[in-house]
Amino acid sequence: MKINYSWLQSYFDEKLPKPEKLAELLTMHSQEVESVEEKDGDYVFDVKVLPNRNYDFVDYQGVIRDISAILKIDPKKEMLKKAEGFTREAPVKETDIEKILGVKISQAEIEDILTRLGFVIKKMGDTMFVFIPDFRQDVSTKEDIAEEIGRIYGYDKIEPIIPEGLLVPPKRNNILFFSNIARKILTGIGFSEVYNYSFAKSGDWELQNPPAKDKGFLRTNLIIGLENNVKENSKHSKNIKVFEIGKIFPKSGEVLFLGAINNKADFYEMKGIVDAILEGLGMSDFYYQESAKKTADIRVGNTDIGVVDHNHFELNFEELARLANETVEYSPISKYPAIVRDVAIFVPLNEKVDSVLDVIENTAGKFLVDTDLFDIYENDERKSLAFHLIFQSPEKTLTDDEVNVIMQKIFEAIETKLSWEARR
Amino acid sequence: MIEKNKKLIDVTAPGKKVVKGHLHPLTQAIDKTCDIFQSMGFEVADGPELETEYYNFDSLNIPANHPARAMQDTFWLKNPKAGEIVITPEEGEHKSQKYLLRTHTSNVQIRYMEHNKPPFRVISPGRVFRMEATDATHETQFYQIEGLMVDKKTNLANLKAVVKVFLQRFFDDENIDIRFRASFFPFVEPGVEVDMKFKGKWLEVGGAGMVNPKVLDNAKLNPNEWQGFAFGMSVERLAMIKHKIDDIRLFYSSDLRFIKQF
Repeated sequence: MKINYSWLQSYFDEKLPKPEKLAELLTMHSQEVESVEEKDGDYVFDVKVLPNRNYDFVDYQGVIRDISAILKIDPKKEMLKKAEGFTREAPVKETDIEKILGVKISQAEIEDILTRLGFVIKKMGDTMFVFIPDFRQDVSTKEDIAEEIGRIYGYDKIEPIIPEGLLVPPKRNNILFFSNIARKILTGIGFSEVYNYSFAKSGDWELQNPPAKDKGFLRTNLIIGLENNVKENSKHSKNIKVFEIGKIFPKSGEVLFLGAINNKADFYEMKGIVDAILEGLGMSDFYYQESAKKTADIRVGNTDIGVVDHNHFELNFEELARLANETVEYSPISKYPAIVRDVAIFVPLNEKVDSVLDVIENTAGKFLVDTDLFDIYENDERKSLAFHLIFQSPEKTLTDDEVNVIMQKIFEAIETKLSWEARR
Repeated sequence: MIEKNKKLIDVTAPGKKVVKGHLHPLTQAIDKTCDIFQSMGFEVADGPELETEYYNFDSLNIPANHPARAMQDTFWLKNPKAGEIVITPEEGEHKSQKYLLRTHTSNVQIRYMEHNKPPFRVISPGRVFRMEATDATHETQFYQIEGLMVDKKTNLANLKAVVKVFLQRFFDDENIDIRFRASFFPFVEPGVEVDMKFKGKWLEVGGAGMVNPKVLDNAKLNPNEWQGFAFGMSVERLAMIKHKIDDIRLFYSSDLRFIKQF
């Protein structure tokens, strides 16, 4: 809305402040003046009228009443339109205004402000009845009245007061807490964080008004965005390691996911990173199984918590935050030395490491404290899996003889499988 | 004197490169914001990005045809075909089930108030969406941080103190001052714009006000018993001021030459 400075002045006998100053006063107490332009010896104010004040600004009278209240000067009486009626009344208690604004304003000042804005006041006991003129359709409650008083009085004059309150620590937000752990793990091993768009070319939820042709749906995965990030960043560097934690939108609504990609990694490297994240979140009972769509599904019990594919993975972070566990229990460190034995086992190409480990661990007994697969070698017919087996007792120093007996049992168990062969 | 057996070390030769990942600058800004507010007793709350018309508009005193709806251009979803989408509908027939992408994080206010008992101190960071042409200062998606405090006598002076302390801590600058300008948002009354005086210049940083009693009423709280303030700020805006970033689109470029600077 454009308003001329000379037109505003014509309503008042008293000299108005200089255009720039008046514009600032209006911006602080009334409506924002977006610009003041000098034109033919006059000044044009460009006023951005807020939706609630459209009605009493349509005839430009609202700005006159506001100026009168801000500067505490009377407009020329015959020029200002009178209210044709008072449609509503708002009862305001003496304490109400201070309770809302947090500052004590004198009754005289309150009445001056409201009267200049066109309200009519009747006091009864400790209650002030404010009659609302028909040109202020936006005002009806005591909060509206508090705003009228507050803005004209000046929010600047309200001194900040730190709220009182009980000393109760806020509840922890688990999603935030555990996602920050995951972020630390990933940045620690060289992954940088990206934020991609929630829009995608296809999906389950379609937009009525898409921002672009290729952004007609809400994304259903993070990986398409991450793969695109690899492509774009490959113009500038070779090894791209990025991750994102963000909402995806399957048919069921929305879910927070964590996705990561490393363009130089293979399945085993990405699986190792998933292990690090899940272990970092205090999870231990997760496992991997063959997947219909990707290389592997990650599961806990019967719940799918994510997938790993050749150079990337995606995890359902809401499930992770639910399953994560912060309690770590200390297990005593043995005072007695460990004995390490190596064993290499030939198995058919399609045999799984898990089934070999099962045989070893089920045979070895309680002194086998760790197994470490340190080498996989494949030829055309079979593969060789080489393990370090670590034996230790919490109560005594194990002897070579004791470990030899255990190793013998392991070899025998392996050789009951016809297609397996242990290299002693 | 150089010891005979000591290996000669050239301290001016470069150290071995260690590859280290970088957190997105918006994550860093959100973390810092949450830390500051949590230290003041605020709980971090989440809410859905895919929202219904009821929680984004109706419950916040923004009824249909209200001029305020025109202020925020909304992304609407095509209504899901029956049986295709298995989202659980909210209880209550009067609540509009038309789906949209939330235009602000104020939806969390209502959702939080519906499920918790006052007094509240809540902060809610999250992604929001606006249907608008993109340029250096406008994006179709950005992050907002929403604050809500409801108590028996929380007032506008308290709002001023909390926002001021937050900005001083966020920018690590005790000289920061703030001012409130008269404004209008349907879900607050009085409503104000918040400006921050940063290195001698007034910059607009957000909107705020006292929670409109109608909003408290919609969340089934008695407005005669409870009152409170709410505020909203753009995280991008804070990060842009802090790091002197001149184009909002960089945040969603996923360009590592940008991200690795933080």
